[in-house]
Amino acid sequence: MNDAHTHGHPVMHCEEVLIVLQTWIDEQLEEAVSGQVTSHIERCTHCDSEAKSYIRLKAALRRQRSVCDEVVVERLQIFGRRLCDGSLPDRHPEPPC
Amino acid sequence: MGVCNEVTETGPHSVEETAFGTHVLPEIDVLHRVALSITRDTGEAEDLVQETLLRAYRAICSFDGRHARAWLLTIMRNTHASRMRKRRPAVVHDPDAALAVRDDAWGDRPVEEIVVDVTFDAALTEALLALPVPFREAVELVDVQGLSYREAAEALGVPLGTIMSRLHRARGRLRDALTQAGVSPLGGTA
Repeated sequence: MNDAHTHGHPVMHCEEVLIVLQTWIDEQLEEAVSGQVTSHIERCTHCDSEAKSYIRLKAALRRQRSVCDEVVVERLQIFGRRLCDGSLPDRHPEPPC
Repeated sequence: MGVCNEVTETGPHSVEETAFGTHVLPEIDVLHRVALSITRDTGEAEDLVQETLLRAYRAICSFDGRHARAWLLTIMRNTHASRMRKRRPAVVHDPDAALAVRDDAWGDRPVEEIVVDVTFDAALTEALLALPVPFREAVELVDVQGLSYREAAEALGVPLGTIMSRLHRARGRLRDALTQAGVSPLGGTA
Protein backbone atom coordinates (compact mmCIF):
# COMPACT_ATOMS: atom_id res chain seq x y z
CA MET A 1 0.00 0.00 0.00
CA ASN A 2 3.03 2.26 0.13
CA ASP A 3 3.47 2.55 -3.63
CA ALA A 4 2.76 6.02 -4.94
CA HIS A 5 0.70 4.56 -7.73
CA THR A 6 -0.95 1.21 -8.22
CA HIS A 7 -2.67 0.11 -11.40
CA GLY A 8 -2.07 3.63 -12.68
CA HIS A 9 -4.10 5.23 -9.87
CA PRO A 10 -2.77 7.39 -7.01
CA VAL A 11 -2.84 5.55 -3.70
CA MET A 12 -5.78 6.06 -1.35
CA HIS A 13 -5.55 5.21 2.30
CA CYS A 14 -8.11 3.24 4.28
CA GLU A 15 -9.54 6.31 6.01
CA GLU A 16 -10.16 7.99 2.66
CA VAL A 17 -11.61 4.86 1.13
CA LEU A 18 -14.02 4.27 4.00
CA ILE A 19 -15.42 7.78 3.58
CA VAL A 20 -16.43 7.13 -0.03
CA LEU A 21 -16.91 3.37 0.14
CA GLN A 22 -20.71 3.42 0.11
CA THR A 23 -20.82 5.88 -2.76
CA TRP A 24 -18.44 3.58 -4.63
CA ILE A 25 -20.77 0.63 -3.97
CA ASP A 26 -23.67 2.70 -5.28
CA GLU A 27 -21.60 3.39 -8.44
CA GLN A 28 -22.06 7.12 -7.99
CA LEU A 29 -18.41 8.10 -7.60
CA GLU A 30 -16.48 9.91 -10.31
CA GLU A 31 -14.64 7.48 -12.53
CA ALA A 32 -11.15 8.56 -11.48
CA VAL A 33 -11.88 8.25 -7.76
CA SER A 34 -13.75 5.02 -8.34
CA GLY A 35 -10.63 3.54 -9.94
CA GLN A 36 -8.56 4.51 -6.91
CA VAL A 37 -11.05 2.87 -4.56
CA THR A 38 -11.10 -0.29 -6.68
CA SER A 39 -7.31 -0.46 -6.65
CA HIS A 40 -7.21 -0.03 -2.89
CA ILE A 41 -9.86 -2.67 -2.23
CA GLU A 42 -8.03 -5.19 -4.38
CA ARG A 43 -5.05 -4.88 -2.04
CA CYS A 44 -6.63 -4.21 1.36
CA THR A 45 -8.43 -7.07 3.11
CA HIS A 46 -9.97 -4.76 5.70
CA CYS A 47 -11.61 -2.45 3.18
CA ASP A 48 -12.51 -5.42 1.00
CA SER A 49 -14.34 -6.92 3.97
CA GLU A 50 -16.09 -3.62 4.67
CA ALA A 51 -17.17 -3.40 1.04
CA LYS A 52 -18.48 -6.95 1.02
CA SER A 53 -20.56 -6.34 4.14
CA TYR A 54 -22.24 -3.30 2.58
CA ILE A 55 -22.73 -5.10 -0.73
CA ARG A 56 -24.48 -7.95 1.07
CA LEU A 57 -26.58 -5.46 3.03
CA LYS A 58 -27.53 -3.69 -0.18
CA ALA A 59 -28.46 -6.99 -1.85
CA ALA A 60 -30.64 -7.92 1.13
CA LEU A 61 -32.33 -4.53 1.03
CA ARG A 62 -33.03 -5.07 -2.65
CA ARG A 63 -34.87 -8.26 -1.72
CA GLN A 64 -37.21 -6.13 0.41
CA ARG A 65 -38.46 -4.53 -2.76
CA SER A 66 -42.22 -4.64 -2.93
CA VAL A 67 -43.87 -6.64 -5.60
CA CYS A 68 -45.61 -4.10 -7.73
CA ASP A 69 -49.02 -5.63 -8.01
CA GLU A 70 -49.35 -6.14 -11.76
CA VAL A 71 -53.08 -5.53 -11.61
CA VAL A 72 -52.55 -2.16 -9.92
CA VAL A 73 -49.81 -1.16 -12.35
CA GLU A 74 -52.02 -2.17 -15.27
CA ARG A 75 -54.87 -0.08 -13.81
CA LEU A 76 -52.49 2.87 -13.56
CA GLN A 77 -51.30 2.32 -17.13
CA ILE A 78 -54.93 2.35 -18.29
CA PHE A 79 -55.52 5.51 -16.28
CA GLY A 80 -52.49 7.11 -17.96
CA ARG A 81 -53.62 6.06 -21.42
CA ARG A 82 -57.10 7.41 -20.75
CA LEU A 83 -55.52 10.72 -19.80
CA CYS A 84 -53.76 10.57 -23.14
CA ASP A 85 -56.75 9.68 -25.28
CA GLY A 86 -59.02 12.21 -23.62
CA SER A 87 -61.52 9.78 -22.14
CA LEU A 88 -61.09 11.15 -18.61
CA PRO A 89 -63.48 14.08 -18.09
CA ASP A 90 -61.42 15.92 -15.47
CA ARG A 91 -57.99 15.91 -17.09
CA HIS A 92 -57.92 19.68 -17.49
CA PRO A 93 -57.99 22.02 -14.51
CA GLU A 94 -61.24 23.76 -13.77
CA PRO A 95 -61.25 27.36 -14.99
CA PRO A 96 -60.65 29.92 -12.25
CA CYS A 97 -63.75 31.50 -10.78
CA MET B 1 -38.96 25.69 -23.87
CA GLY B 2 -41.39 22.94 -22.90
CA VAL B 3 -41.73 19.51 -24.47
CA CYS B 4 -44.93 20.49 -26.27
CA ASN B 5 -42.91 22.88 -28.45
CA GLU B 6 -40.55 20.07 -29.42
CA VAL B 7 -43.22 17.61 -30.53
CA THR B 8 -43.59 17.73 -34.29
CA GLU B 9 -45.18 14.38 -35.22
CA THR B 10 -48.32 13.79 -33.21
CA GLY B 11 -50.51 11.80 -35.58
CA PRO B 12 -54.07 11.75 -34.28
CA HIS B 13 -52.95 12.90 -30.81
CA SER B 14 -52.48 16.37 -29.35
CA VAL B 15 -48.99 17.56 -28.43
CA GLU B 16 -49.84 17.11 -24.75
CA GLU B 17 -50.93 13.53 -25.34
CA THR B 18 -47.82 12.71 -27.34
CA ALA B 19 -45.46 14.30 -24.80
CA PHE B 20 -47.27 12.58 -21.93
CA GLY B 21 -47.04 9.21 -23.66
CA THR B 22 -43.33 9.68 -24.35
CA HIS B 23 -42.15 11.03 -21.02
CA VAL B 24 -44.67 9.95 -18.36
CA LEU B 25 -46.24 6.59 -19.20
CA PRO B 26 -42.89 4.70 -19.12
CA GLU B 27 -42.34 5.89 -15.52
CA ILE B 28 -45.60 4.55 -14.03
CA ASP B 29 -43.98 1.43 -12.61
CA VAL B 30 -41.29 3.45 -10.81
CA LEU B 31 -43.85 5.96 -9.57
CA HIS B 32 -45.89 3.15 -8.10
CA ARG B 33 -42.87 1.66 -6.30
CA VAL B 34 -41.89 5.00 -4.83
CA ALA B 35 -45.49 5.70 -3.83
CA LEU B 36 -45.54 2.39 -1.97
CA SER B 37 -42.40 3.40 -0.11
CA ILE B 38 -43.75 6.81 0.74
CA THR B 39 -47.27 5.82 1.77
CA ARG B 40 -46.66 2.23 2.90
CA ASP B 41 -50.21 1.48 1.84
CA THR B 42 -51.29 -0.08 -1.46
CA GLY B 43 -54.53 1.88 -1.83
CA GLU B 44 -52.91 5.16 -0.86
CA ALA B 45 -50.08 4.49 -3.29
CA GLU B 46 -52.44 3.93 -6.21
CA ASP B 47 -54.37 7.11 -5.41
CA LEU B 48 -51.13 9.07 -5.11
CA VAL B 49 -49.89 7.86 -8.50
CA GLN B 50 -53.21 8.69 -10.15
CA GLU B 51 -53.18 12.21 -8.76
CA THR B 52 -49.53 12.60 -9.76
CA LEU B 53 -50.34 11.51 -13.32
CA LEU B 54 -53.23 13.94 -13.49
CA ARG B 55 -51.05 16.81 -12.30
CA ALA B 56 -48.29 15.78 -14.68
CA TYR B 57 -50.71 15.77 -17.59
CA ARG B 58 -51.91 19.25 -16.75
CA ALA B 59 -48.33 20.51 -16.45
CA ILE B 60 -46.74 18.56 -19.30
CA CYS B 61 -46.20 21.59 -21.53
CA SER B 62 -44.12 23.30 -18.82
CA PHE B 63 -41.79 20.27 -18.58
CA ASP B 64 -38.45 20.88 -20.32
CA GLY B 65 -38.02 17.28 -21.46
CA ARG B 66 -35.01 16.52 -19.26
CA HIS B 67 -35.02 14.05 -16.35
CA ALA B 68 -38.66 13.03 -16.57
CA ARG B 69 -38.38 10.77 -13.56
CA ALA B 70 -37.00 13.53 -11.35
CA TRP B 71 -39.72 15.90 -12.58
CA LEU B 72 -42.43 13.34 -11.81
CA LEU B 73 -40.98 12.54 -8.39
CA THR B 74 -41.10 16.22 -7.51
CA ILE B 75 -44.77 16.33 -8.53
CA MET B 76 -45.40 13.20 -6.47
CA ARG B 77 -43.69 14.69 -3.39
CA ASN B 78 -45.75 17.87 -3.65
CA THR B 79 -48.92 15.89 -4.25
CA HIS B 80 -48.25 13.70 -1.24
CA ALA B 81 -47.55 16.73 0.97
CA SER B 82 -50.75 18.34 -0.22
CA ARG B 83 -52.77 15.19 0.51
CA MET B 84 -51.24 14.93 3.98
CA ARG B 85 -52.10 18.53 4.76
CA LYS B 86 -55.74 17.94 3.81
CA ARG B 87 -56.00 14.81 5.90
CA ARG B 88 -57.07 15.14 9.55
CA PRO B 89 -56.30 13.11 11.53
CA ALA B 90 -53.29 11.41 9.94
CA VAL B 91 -53.91 7.94 8.62
CA VAL B 92 -52.48 5.30 10.92
CA HIS B 93 -50.01 3.09 9.11
CA ASP B 94 -51.22 -0.48 8.72
CA PRO B 95 -48.17 -2.76 8.83
CA ASP B 96 -50.14 -5.68 7.40
CA ALA B 97 -50.79 -3.73 4.22
CA ALA B 98 -47.08 -3.16 3.73
CA LEU B 99 -46.27 -6.80 4.42
CA ALA B 100 -48.88 -7.88 1.89
CA VAL B 101 -46.80 -6.55 -0.96
CA ARG B 102 -43.46 -8.12 0.05
CA ASP B 103 -41.43 -9.95 -2.53
CA ASP B 104 -41.69 -13.72 -2.17
CA ALA B 105 -40.14 -14.65 -5.49
CA TRP B 106 -37.08 -16.69 -4.52
CA GLY B 107 -36.42 -18.43 -7.82
CA ASP B 108 -34.46 -21.69 -8.00
CA ARG B 109 -31.98 -21.13 -5.18
CA PRO B 110 -30.72 -23.80 -2.73
CA VAL B 111 -32.91 -24.24 0.35
CA GLU B 112 -29.99 -23.65 2.77
CA GLU B 113 -29.24 -20.34 1.13
CA ILE B 114 -32.89 -19.34 1.30
CA VAL B 115 -33.09 -20.19 5.02
CA VAL B 116 -30.05 -18.02 5.76
CA ASP B 117 -31.51 -15.21 3.70
CA VAL B 118 -34.92 -15.51 5.36
CA THR B 119 -33.33 -15.22 8.81
CA PHE B 120 -31.18 -12.34 7.68
CA ASP B 121 -34.05 -10.62 5.91
CA ALA B 122 -36.38 -10.92 8.91
CA ALA B 123 -33.77 -9.24 11.11
CA LEU B 124 -33.21 -6.65 8.41
CA THR B 125 -36.92 -5.84 8.16
CA GLU B 126 -37.04 -5.29 11.89
CA ALA B 127 -33.93 -3.10 11.81
CA LEU B 128 -35.29 -1.11 8.89
CA LEU B 129 -38.57 -0.40 10.66
CA ALA B 130 -36.64 0.73 13.74
CA LEU B 131 -34.76 3.42 11.79
CA PRO B 132 -35.82 7.06 12.13
CA VAL B 133 -38.18 7.91 9.26
CA PRO B 134 -35.76 10.18 7.29
CA PHE B 135 -33.11 7.45 7.34
CA ARG B 136 -35.57 4.74 6.39
CA GLU B 137 -36.92 6.79 3.49
CA ALA B 138 -33.43 7.25 2.06
CA VAL B 139 -32.67 3.53 2.29
CA GLU B 140 -36.03 2.53 0.83
CA LEU B 141 -35.73 4.84 -2.16
CA VAL B 142 -32.09 4.11 -3.02
CA ASP B 143 -31.43 0.56 -1.86
CA VAL B 144 -34.88 -0.99 -2.02
CA GLN B 145 -36.41 0.82 -4.97
CA GLY B 146 -33.17 1.47 -6.83
CA LEU B 147 -33.41 5.23 -7.34
CA SER B 148 -30.25 7.27 -7.89
CA TYR B 149 -29.16 9.75 -5.21
CA ARG B 150 -30.48 12.56 -7.37
CA GLU B 151 -33.88 10.95 -7.89
CA ALA B 152 -34.23 10.19 -4.17
CA ALA B 153 -33.31 13.79 -3.36
CA GLU B 154 -36.02 14.99 -5.75
CA ALA B 155 -38.58 12.60 -4.27
CA LEU B 156 -37.90 13.75 -0.71
CA GLY B 157 -37.21 17.41 -1.48
CA VAL B 158 -33.80 17.46 0.20
CA PRO B 159 -30.27 18.22 -1.07
CA LEU B 160 -28.17 15.45 -2.61
CA GLY B 161 -25.68 15.60 0.26
CA THR B 162 -28.47 15.03 2.75
CA ILE B 163 -29.51 11.87 0.95
CA MET B 164 -25.93 10.60 0.97
CA SER B 165 -25.46 11.42 4.64
CA ARG B 166 -28.75 9.81 5.67
CA LEU B 167 -28.05 6.77 3.54
CA HIS B 168 -24.57 6.21 4.92
CA ARG B 169 -25.65 6.64 8.52
CA ALA B 170 -28.71 4.46 8.01
CA ARG B 171 -26.67 1.63 6.54
CA GLY B 172 -24.23 1.87 9.41
CA ARG B 173 -27.10 1.58 11.86
CA LEU B 174 -28.59 -1.34 9.96
CA ARG B 175 -25.28 -3.14 9.99
CA ASP B 176 -24.89 -2.58 13.72
CA ALA B 177 -28.45 -3.76 14.36
CA LEU B 178 -27.89 -6.92 12.34
CA THR B 179 -24.69 -7.70 14.19
CA GLN B 180 -26.48 -7.20 17.50
CA ALA B 181 -29.26 -9.51 16.29
CA GLY B 182 -26.67 -12.20 15.63
CA VAL B 183 -26.72 -12.07 11.85
CA SER B 184 -23.70 -10.44 10.29
CA PRO B 185 -23.85 -8.78 6.89
CA LEU B 186 -20.55 -10.56 6.20
CA GLY B 187 -22.39 -13.85 5.92
CA GLY B 188 -23.70 -16.59 8.21
CA THR B 189 -24.40 -15.89 11.84
CA ALA B 190 -22.26 -13.64 13.99
